[in-house]
Amino acid sequence: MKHLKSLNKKAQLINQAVSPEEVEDVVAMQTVVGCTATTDPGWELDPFGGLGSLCQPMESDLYGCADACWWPAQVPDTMHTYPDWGKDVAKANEDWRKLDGIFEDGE
Amino acid sequence: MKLKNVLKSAGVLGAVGLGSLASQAVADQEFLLTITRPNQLHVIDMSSNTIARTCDIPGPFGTGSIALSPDNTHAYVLSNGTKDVYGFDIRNCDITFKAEQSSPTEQVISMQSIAVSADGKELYTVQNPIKKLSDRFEVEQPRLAVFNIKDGMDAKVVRTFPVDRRITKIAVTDQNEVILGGADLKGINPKTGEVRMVSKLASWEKGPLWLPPDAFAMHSQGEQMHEYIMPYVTAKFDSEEWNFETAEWWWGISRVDLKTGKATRDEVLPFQFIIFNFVADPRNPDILYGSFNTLSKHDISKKETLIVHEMPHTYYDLNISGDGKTLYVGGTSSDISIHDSDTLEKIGSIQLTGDMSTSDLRVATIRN
Repeated sequence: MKHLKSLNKKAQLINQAVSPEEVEDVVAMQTVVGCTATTDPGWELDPFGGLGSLCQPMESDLYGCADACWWPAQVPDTMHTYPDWGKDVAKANEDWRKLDGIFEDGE
Repeated sequence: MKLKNVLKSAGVLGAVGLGSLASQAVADQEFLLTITRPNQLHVIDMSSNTIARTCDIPGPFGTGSIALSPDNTHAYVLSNGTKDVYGFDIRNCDITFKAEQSSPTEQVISMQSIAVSADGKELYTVQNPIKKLSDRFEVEQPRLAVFNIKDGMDAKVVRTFPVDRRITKIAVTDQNEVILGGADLKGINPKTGEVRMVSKLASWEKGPLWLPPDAFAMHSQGEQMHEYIMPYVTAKFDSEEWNFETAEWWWGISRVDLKTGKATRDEVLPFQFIIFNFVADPRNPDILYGSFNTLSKHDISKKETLIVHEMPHTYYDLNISGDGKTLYVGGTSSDISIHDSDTLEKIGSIQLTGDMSTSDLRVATIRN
C-alpha cells in the first residue's frame, strides 16, 4: 500500500483501516441464529454426522432457512438480498419447481 | 367477547343445541395463531380446529413472530422482513397498531423479539440497527425499544435502552421485566434500563468438564404455563481431554416463571435426537413435549423420554390446549398436525394457505 496514493475520501478511509491501530473491533453477529450453532441441523450433515436429523423433506425447511437468514449460503436470504425469491410460491412443497436458483450474472 | 361474536367465530351456530350454546357463552375461547406466507395471520378456533378468520398483514413476510396482549384480544406481529410491527384485533382483523422501525438512513431488524407489557400499554422490541452511510454500513448498539400502544397507526419509539447483541425471543413477566433471550438470559427494566442476569448460559460456571451450552431461542410457546423456555444442548466429558465420543450429551432448559420472574436451569434429558421446541403440559410441569422430525413426550423429573412419534415432515414448533389434552404441531410447511397428548397419535390436521416457515404457534385464550 505504501506505493499507492489515495485520491478520494473512500480510498483514504481504506488506508486508515489497514493501519493496525485504526482497525475497529470485530463485533459479534447480531443474533443467535446463523450457521454457528453446532447442534442445528444443517444442509449437509446433522449433529450426529448423518442425515436422519436434517430437516425433512428439504422443501419444509426452505423458507425457514431463507426468511430468518438462517443458512444464507445454501438458501437465498429473503430478509435482505433476495426478498422476492419466494414471492409467488406460498407452499414450497407444492411449487418447489418455481423456486429457482440464484445466479449472480442473471442467467 | 359478545355471544354473537363467539358463535360467528366458532362457525357452529347451526350445529349445536341450546344447552351447549349456554355453556359456550361462559366458556373461555382458545384460538391458535400462526402466520403463513405470503403474509397472513390465521386465527384458528381450537374448539372446532377450523380457521375462524384470516388477517392480511401488510408488507412482505417477516419470520412470523407473534406477541399477545395480556387479554389475548390483540396480536402484534413482525412484518416486512422483521422491520415493521403491526397490531391486530384478532376478533375482527382490524389493524390497530403500526410501527415502522427503519428509516432511510438506518435499517432496523428485530429478530423474533417482540413482547407486550404486563399492563398492555407498551410494546417492546429489540432493535438491531445498522446505520446506512453513503459509503458503508455501520453496525450500531442493539437496544430495547419501547412503543406506546395507544399511539396506534403511527407509533414512534418513546424510550430506548442498550442491550446485548444476539437477542432473539423476549417475554414479559408479571412484574413487567422484559426477559431477553440471548447468549445468557437477562432481564431488563423497561422503565429504567437496568439489566440483571436471570440465568447464565454462555457464561455459566460449570467447570472444565462441561461443554458451553448451545442454546436455541427462536420460539417460546409457554402461554398455557405462563413461562419462557429456552432449550440448550451441552455435553459432560469424562476428562479435560474433551473426548466427544465418550461424552454424555444432554438437553437442558432455562425456564423462567413469568408469574414471578424466577428462573431455573437444568439438564433434563439425554440428547438422543433433535428437538427444536419444548412445551409443558399445563397439568404437570414435569411433562414436556418436543417437536422436530419427531413429536416426543418426556418426564423431566425422571429424565426420561416416554413416547417418540415419527412425523411425516419437520415441524419446528408446537403448542398445547389449556386442558393439556391436545397438541398442535406446526411451523415449516402449510399443515398443523393435531395429536392426542396421551398417546401422541395424530387425531387431525389443519390445512393453511401457505407455509408457516419460522412462524410462532401461539394460543390466545379470550376469557369471558
